[in-house]
Order: sequence, then C-alpha cells, then structure tokens
Amino acid sequence: MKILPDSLDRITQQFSRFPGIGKKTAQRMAFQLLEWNREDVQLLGEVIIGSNDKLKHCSVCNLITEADPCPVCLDTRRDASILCVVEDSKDVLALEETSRFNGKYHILGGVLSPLEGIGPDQLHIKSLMARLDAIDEIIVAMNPSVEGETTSLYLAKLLQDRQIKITRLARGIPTGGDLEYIDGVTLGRALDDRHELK
Amino acid sequence: MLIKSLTMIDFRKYEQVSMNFGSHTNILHGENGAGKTTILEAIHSLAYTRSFKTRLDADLARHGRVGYQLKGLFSDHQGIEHKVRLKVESARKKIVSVDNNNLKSRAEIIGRFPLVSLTPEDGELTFGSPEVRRLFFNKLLSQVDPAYLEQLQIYARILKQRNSMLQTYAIDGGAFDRILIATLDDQRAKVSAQLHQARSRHLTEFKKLLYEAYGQLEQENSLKMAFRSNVRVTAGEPEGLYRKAYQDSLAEDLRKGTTTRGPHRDLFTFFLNTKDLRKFGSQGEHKLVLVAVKFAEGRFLESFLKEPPVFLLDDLFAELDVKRSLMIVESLRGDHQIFITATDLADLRHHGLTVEGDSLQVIDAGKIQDHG
Repeated sequence: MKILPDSLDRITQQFSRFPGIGKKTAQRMAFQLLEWNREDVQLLGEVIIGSNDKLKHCSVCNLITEADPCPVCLDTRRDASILCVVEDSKDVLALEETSRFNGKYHILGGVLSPLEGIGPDQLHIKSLMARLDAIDEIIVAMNPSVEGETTSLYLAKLLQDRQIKITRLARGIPTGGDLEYIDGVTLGRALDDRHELK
Repeated sequence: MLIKSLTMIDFRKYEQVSMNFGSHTNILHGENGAGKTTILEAIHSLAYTRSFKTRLDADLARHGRVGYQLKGLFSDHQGIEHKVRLKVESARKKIVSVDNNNLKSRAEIIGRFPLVSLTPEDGELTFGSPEVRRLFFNKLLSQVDPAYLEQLQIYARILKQRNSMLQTYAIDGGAFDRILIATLDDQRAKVSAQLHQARSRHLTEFKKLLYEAYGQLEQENSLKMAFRSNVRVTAGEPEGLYRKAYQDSLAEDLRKGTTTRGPHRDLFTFFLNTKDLRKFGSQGEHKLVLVAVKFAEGRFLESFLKEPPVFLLDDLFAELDVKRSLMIVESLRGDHQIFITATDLADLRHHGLTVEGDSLQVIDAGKIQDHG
C-alpha cells in the first residue's frame, strides 16, 4: 500500500537530483518543507525561479554571473596580465577565498575526457585562445585527476609557441599535515615537486 | 599475519556463522559443497575486498539476498589486532572498514593483510593468457608498492581515454585531435616508464625467490621467467623511448582502433628448460611451477611487508603429489598460519599429515552451526 501522497513523492524526487542528496535526505527536506509557512515556501520558489532567469555565463571568462561581462572581468584593479584557468565557477570561489590571487579567470567548463565525449570543442578553449593578447602568465589550476592532468598538458601544448609563462598549482603536503601520517603517494608527489630554499 | 576469527552473514550458503581459527594449521574438511572453499573466499574477500573466484558481489550473496557481510579479526606478528569488516548492501554499495574506519579506496587495504592462495582457479596462471599473469604481478607488486598501484590506475585511465578516441575515429573518421592524442601519449609515456622501472626492479627480486622455490621442489628441470615489453626500453631514457614508440605506432593504432603498444601488453613468460611452459609443459610441470610461483609470492610479500602471509591452500592434495604436498605443509608450518581444505580427514592422515597436537585446528565445514 502506498502511504505517502504523490505531491510529497514528487518533491522528494526533485530534491534527490541534487549532488550529495540521497533519497533519505530528500525525504527529510520534503517533510521539513511541510512545516514552513506559505510565505517562506513562496519566497524559496521565487528565489529559485529568479536565479534561473537571471544567471548566465560571462561571455568573456564563462563565470556564472548576472551581469555580462561579469564583475571580475570588469574590475580594473585586477591584474589583466595573469589568467587562472579553472574547471568550473566553484573553483573560482575557492581561489578567491585564499585572497592570494588578483588576476583574472577563465572557466573551461569541465575537463577533457574523450570517454564522455568531451573534447576541446566541448570546453571553452577557443575563447581562452582569443584572450591571450597582453597575457604574461597562465596558471592552470585543474583538479589532480588524470583528466585534469590531461587538460593541463593539453593547454601547455597549445600554448607552447607563445611567449606566455605557463604554471600549475603545486601538489603535496597540506598545511597542518604531519609527514608521518601522509600517504606515500602524496609524499612522493611533494618530493617530485620540491623547490629550492632560498 | 593471522586471522583469529571470522563471521559470515548471508555469504554464499551461510546465513550467519562465526568461527575461531588456530594460529598454525587449520584443516577445513567436509564433503563437496559443504562450504570449505567459501571460508577461504571470505578470508580473501576481507583482505583484498574481493573474492578470488568472482568480482561480482551479487554472486556471493546468499540466494535471495542482495548483500552480505563479513567480519574478521586479524592479528599481525606483533600481536596487534585489527577488525576488518566488509559490508555489501547492494551491487553498487560496498563498505570496507578497518578498526571501524571506513576506507575510501581499495588501495588503503591492499598489502595490509597479506595472503597467498592456491586454488584450482590458479591453474590459469601458467595455462592461461598473458593477461592472467599481468594481473597476478600487478596484484603482487601493488601490495608492496603503493605508488605502483596508483601508476597502474592512472595508466588504465589514460589508456581508456585514448582507446575511446581511437574507436570514435574508427566509427566516424573525420575530425581527430592530434594534439589531444599527443598529450595523452606524453602522459602515458611518463607513467609507462615508471611502471616499467618498477616491474623490472621488483621482478629481479621475484625471480631470485622463484628459482629458489622451484629448486626445492624439483631438481631435474630448470625454470626461467622472462619479462618483456613490446617497446624496447634498453639503452637510454625510458620516458623518451616510450614517447617515441607511441608516436611511431599511432598510424597502426588508428588502423586497428586500439592501443597496440605499452605496458598493458607486457609479457611475463615461464620457460622450462628453455621451452615456453604454456605451450610445451605437461600437467605435472605446470603444477610445480604454479606451486613455486605461490611460494615465491609468499616470500616476496614477507620480505617487503615484514609480515608472514596467511596461506590458503584449496584442495592442495588433489593438486599435487603427496610427497610434495606434505613438504609444502611442513615447510610452512610453524611460521605461517595455513588453511587446508580436504574432503576426507582419514585421507590426510593416510597421507601422513599428523592431525594431532594443539598446533592444528580441525573445522568441519558441514557442521558449522548456523545461528542466524
């Protein structure tokens, strides 16, 4: 016998489409929603629909934005000669948190993975190539996956004939990490990527 | 390494059983189908997260169940105990924990609880295709060298990406990104060189142990093992040689729609008196080489991990002649925990295996109390 009404089922199904949300959590969210008063539910709905209407990708860097070009691209205090290339908009948030980077960004929209049908044409690589005038350095900040590495090396190959410095993020020991407890693979990487003390 | 106790829930034919093991020789006896091998499978599954018989967890769950659970108490040579638990909830959800910490990847447990198994399925190791031997050495080296396991996984992923490009080209023709495939090959050359180096280095060590083990079993013949790559990596810098070989074979790969060269095609071959064992060996010769390989595996693991592996010997006496079987058991007894399955206890006695004494535990697989 089916106990729960259809409308509750439908909302559970919608919630469970989110990453990290399983069926149980989706159900808890749905039940929580029943506790809310009508205005709050209305507000949530409007916010969601409103964001979907307003949000788009920046035509220059492909960052998620409401205004095109995005505020980062328009910000003249940022150093326009350094470009940090990332996989998606979430990575920009993470890098901004560091307050260490004051250049501009370019969001590829994913990584190269022929298995999933993602080749160079499926990523924002052409628009990156169109931005290279007056760029001195490109920091390739991909995730340390096999595909992230492929994408980094691919970009390096594309750019090898240009007078542009290409760097990548260092890999190794996290701050607060204890050498004793770090897995051999990470420690090995850190050894490979060691740099001179000066 | 020792396994002190085991609990199986909904595993193969067992609904819920627990048992304790002796620290030396454990004889699992019972009729065919009593569940002797299942106990070995459970021990292997705990140590390596998968059975030696199948990779499909659905095959291992008791009839009518989707999942199963295994718990084992292991103890290392210093007497430090570890609780290992493996819980399969469905075909896609498998949780392995050591001392109540859930593992994020298989790599975290490989090599921690070393086992050597000798089962009828292992016959493939000498009779089967080169793929079987590659898998064997990959598993062996992964246990002693975590970097090797990571390199293997990276290599496999790059290969999959590259093959998918070749296949798409074979179907569609047309557009083909040469820079992308060159990138994949640079990446592949780097990890190929690492794999080649690790294989060469470890196999030099393994061969020594293998020839020694074989010499103890058989003095008449001489055994040699060869490791050969289809990319010549002799003189010079390996990464560069691989890169060159990959560039040169691209045309052929495009024609064939698959990657023809690289460590995934490395060959490990046994030669008996200079003849290829796989092609010319008799049944008896195959068995002796197999047993020697397993012995060498044990010694190899022990020398790297400083931990004597547990031996799982399934139907040893059916596999090998009595004299050699006893020699094996006697040589392992004392330093290693061993499990031997047998259909008939009287037969073992008849073979001269002493079933008396406190170093030996006898478990009747057919009479294990199901208390589910």
